[in-house]
Amino acid sequence: MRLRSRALVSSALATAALASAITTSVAALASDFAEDGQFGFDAEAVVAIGFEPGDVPDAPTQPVESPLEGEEALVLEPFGSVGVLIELPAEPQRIHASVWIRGGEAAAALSFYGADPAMGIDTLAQLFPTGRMTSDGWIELANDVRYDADSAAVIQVTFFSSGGCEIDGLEVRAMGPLAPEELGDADGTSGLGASCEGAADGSDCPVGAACLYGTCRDVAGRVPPIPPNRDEVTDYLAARLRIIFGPFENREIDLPIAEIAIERMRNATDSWTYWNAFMLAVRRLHDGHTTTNSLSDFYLRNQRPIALCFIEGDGDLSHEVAPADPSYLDVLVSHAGTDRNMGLRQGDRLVRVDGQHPIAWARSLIEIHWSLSPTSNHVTYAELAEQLRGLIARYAHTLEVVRCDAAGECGEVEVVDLDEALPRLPDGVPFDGIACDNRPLRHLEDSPPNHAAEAGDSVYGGLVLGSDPEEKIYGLEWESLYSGDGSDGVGSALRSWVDTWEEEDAAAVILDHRSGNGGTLLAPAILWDYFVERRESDAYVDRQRVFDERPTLAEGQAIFDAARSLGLMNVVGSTAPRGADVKVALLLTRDVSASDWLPLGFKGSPNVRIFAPFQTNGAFSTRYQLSYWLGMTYVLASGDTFVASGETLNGHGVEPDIVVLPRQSDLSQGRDSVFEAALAWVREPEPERAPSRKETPR
Amino acid sequence: MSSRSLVNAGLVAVSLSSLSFGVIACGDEEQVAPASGGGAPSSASVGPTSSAASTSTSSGAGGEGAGTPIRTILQRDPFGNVAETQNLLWDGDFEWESAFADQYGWFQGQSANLTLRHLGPDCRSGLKCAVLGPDIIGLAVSSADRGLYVSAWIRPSDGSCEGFRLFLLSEGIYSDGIDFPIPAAAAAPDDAGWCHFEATAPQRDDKSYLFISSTVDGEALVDDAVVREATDGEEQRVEPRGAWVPSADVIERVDAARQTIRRWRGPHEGAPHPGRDAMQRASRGDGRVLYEASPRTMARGAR
Repeated sequence: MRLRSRALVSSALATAALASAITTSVAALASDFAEDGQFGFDAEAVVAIGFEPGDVPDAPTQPVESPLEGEEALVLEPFGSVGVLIELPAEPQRIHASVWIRGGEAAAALSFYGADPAMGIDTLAQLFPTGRMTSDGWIELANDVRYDADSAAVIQVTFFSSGGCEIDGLEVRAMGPLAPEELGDADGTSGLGASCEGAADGSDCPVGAACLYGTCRDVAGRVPPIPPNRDEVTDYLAARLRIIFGPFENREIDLPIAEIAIERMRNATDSWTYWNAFMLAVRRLHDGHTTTNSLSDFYLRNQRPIALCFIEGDGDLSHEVAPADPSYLDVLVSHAGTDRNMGLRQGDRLVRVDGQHPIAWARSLIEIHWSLSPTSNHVTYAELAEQLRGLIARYAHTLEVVRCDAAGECGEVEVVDLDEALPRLPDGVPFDGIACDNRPLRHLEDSPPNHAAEAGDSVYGGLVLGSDPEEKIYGLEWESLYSGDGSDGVGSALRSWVDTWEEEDAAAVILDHRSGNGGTLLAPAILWDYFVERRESDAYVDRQRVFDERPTLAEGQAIFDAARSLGLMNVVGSTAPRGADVKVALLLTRDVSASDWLPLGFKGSPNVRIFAPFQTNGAFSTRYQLSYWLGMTYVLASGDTFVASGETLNGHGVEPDIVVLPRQSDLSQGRDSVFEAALAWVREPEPERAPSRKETPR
Repeated sequence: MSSRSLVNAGLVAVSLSSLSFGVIACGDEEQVAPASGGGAPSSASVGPTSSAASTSTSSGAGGEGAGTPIRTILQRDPFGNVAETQNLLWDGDFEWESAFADQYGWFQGQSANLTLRHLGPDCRSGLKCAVLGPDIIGLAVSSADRGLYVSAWIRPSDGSCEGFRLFLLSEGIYSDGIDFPIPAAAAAPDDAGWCHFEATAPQRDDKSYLFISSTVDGEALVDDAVVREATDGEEQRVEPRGAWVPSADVIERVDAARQTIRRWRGPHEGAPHPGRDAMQRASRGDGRVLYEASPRTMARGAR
């Protein structure tokens, strides 16, 4: 049913003062309702889909009770996803897209695939609630979206609903050409769709755009308009940080910095600046649990996959040609796939990205990259090193590298232009990918050669490769510590390996947890119970009062004692642990949460040594997720962990017993510095005396 | 501690039975499911967020010769009741709720997220609200300096406000709080069918949780919950309550809530999540069926 000619009554809405105020920030209403409540498409709409028979052939439309218009609607089942291909005018312009949903939340997005659709989505825009709804349950989602000429080749409207919903009244209305500054200069050096030279060059892109894969792409369509009651919304969101965020040291150091970003919200003149400022504020809280993400993190594939993994270490072979940075560790190639590696191999060094040290460059992306991996401590960057290849793929233009051969000979610093060395890869084209796990080598017979675990809760174990079976040196390689009841998740696998070590009378176990994704304390408890003598470790305490700040040591001791009296103590280990005589080497690099607690529980046990380049993340809390229509999700840690001294732990990781940096000289010869140090220690006939158990983990 | 503090609360707590709510007829507007058309707009209710909502009913609807409109149009603030900028509940209006969250600002039953949720005009403010089946627990913090003003709205399915038990639970390390009951502010639901529960709890150092429970069959909506530092005037309304002895059922349910709170204390992440998994599959195109819109749905300019 087409209702474009129906007389529309928009004045009724406009007469409600507040409604008018609320809708002013959204583009002028397009589709609207007649006096009798009938919905009608805008007469000038360029797309008007009522999901009536024939509108979208074969789509799961069906008659519904009280449809928004016509007789039928698109019906999504729970977890259902549907894409509808539409056409829009080819000229770059601004549009207003809207759709109505009922019965459940839906993520509705416009995906612009660009001139080469096989590359994946160029630009993603999400439709958010406008606040307009009907008495029979229809809720309007809409947004203003802009696109360049290339982006208009293939446009897909995608819907996803976790609980199922009805969808009706999809409309797109042209809102006019882009402004000159959005179109760019005549020579195409800026403007939407124009080429750009990396995120550091992003300032040349128009407001609300970012330099992605060498092209200025709109990102403003990923966020809702600035709310008309901006002061209230800003105050409300600012208060979420101050009220909920719990880690005391990060409140002291980082919350004031986060609140500076909040101030940007008060003066922002465009939607991206406004909402990006809030998400930036969250990221500036600098906590391992405290993150942000958006729908684009689900939808946008990596168009430039890189089969290289980077790790921080000691570039001992190449300091003559590229001196070490005074602030950051060197960044080395941990391992590489056989193609899409720019000719780099294990042990080569990444010296600079777009003129900056790679870690400094990655840190600068906090301004625009919502899913940047955080740490709670203020001195380590393993998360960024692991994430580097994905960041480089999206935001970098040039790399400076040093190549070294197996003989330890290195070349000069070489500049690599990413566009030339690593073209974008069409979707579906296979290549020899490799997973990044901070393990230059795997050391078990069943370990996946490409480092990609079969599943998130996979646990690999067995005798360590290269050891004599008579030595009875076992290894365990795994990422997750999730178990909801001690048996699910990794629970049963960990118990099974504990039984194996016991049955086989293991002499030593190398626990390789160099990519620690966290979980619950039930999983590390399985290992603590076997290896560690029972002791009180720490007490996690939820945030209690709105103005609580870091307590004094005396106050912290009182809190610790109170937690003990209430049974909130994390007690690790067991009385007379069966594995107390087994030497344990715990290998760490990047971790969070329960993977922080894992070494905390081990720390100080006489039979255990922790091998790592630096302290752990220090994310001794838990986190709570708040999500606005899946388009703006923020996660806040709320709480901190106390030890008997009265200190709080969040913000300080567990220090290694043996500090080992991956060395370029080892990597270039295919050797794993951290593992070899651990293996050498477990082979020592007489273990050294462990640090005092009273030593704090910082 | 749970039963003890609840009984302590009971010694100074209000007699809920004395509130003697009247049973009102709320008609079709009380349905939890989206109205099938013709229902009165729920946002016409009064209350702290009424200013954030407006209703557009066609002027012709009641006019001469005009028929009953098939629907009315409402305008809500999609961010909910943000006027309560200092709400100590993490998401009192449920607008930042997501089925994808494995830990959210409200627990329900034994889950660390809502398990029942509602979207649409039947909610009181904003677009989203919770559905009471299993009890819900809102996460908040307390104030070191002031009493806590508490407000929440419940829309029952049977027109009665009597079947709900609300407490500001005290569950913290200072052991100084009581589980403070939050009674209904009026004897009957308002014109839109909402029951308002309101009280000012004494200052406490312990962490606070807003516990909302239904003792009657049928689902009810919960929306626009606020816990904030009391104003001077509100603090003066803190008063000793009459004797009230909680029923064994209520004690049991508060104990269960406390167990849920304790269960989720500490790190929890990485659990498999069918929603996220489905979303990730869909984002890769797996399971997403792609359809082409008919050219007739495009204006000439688009083609």
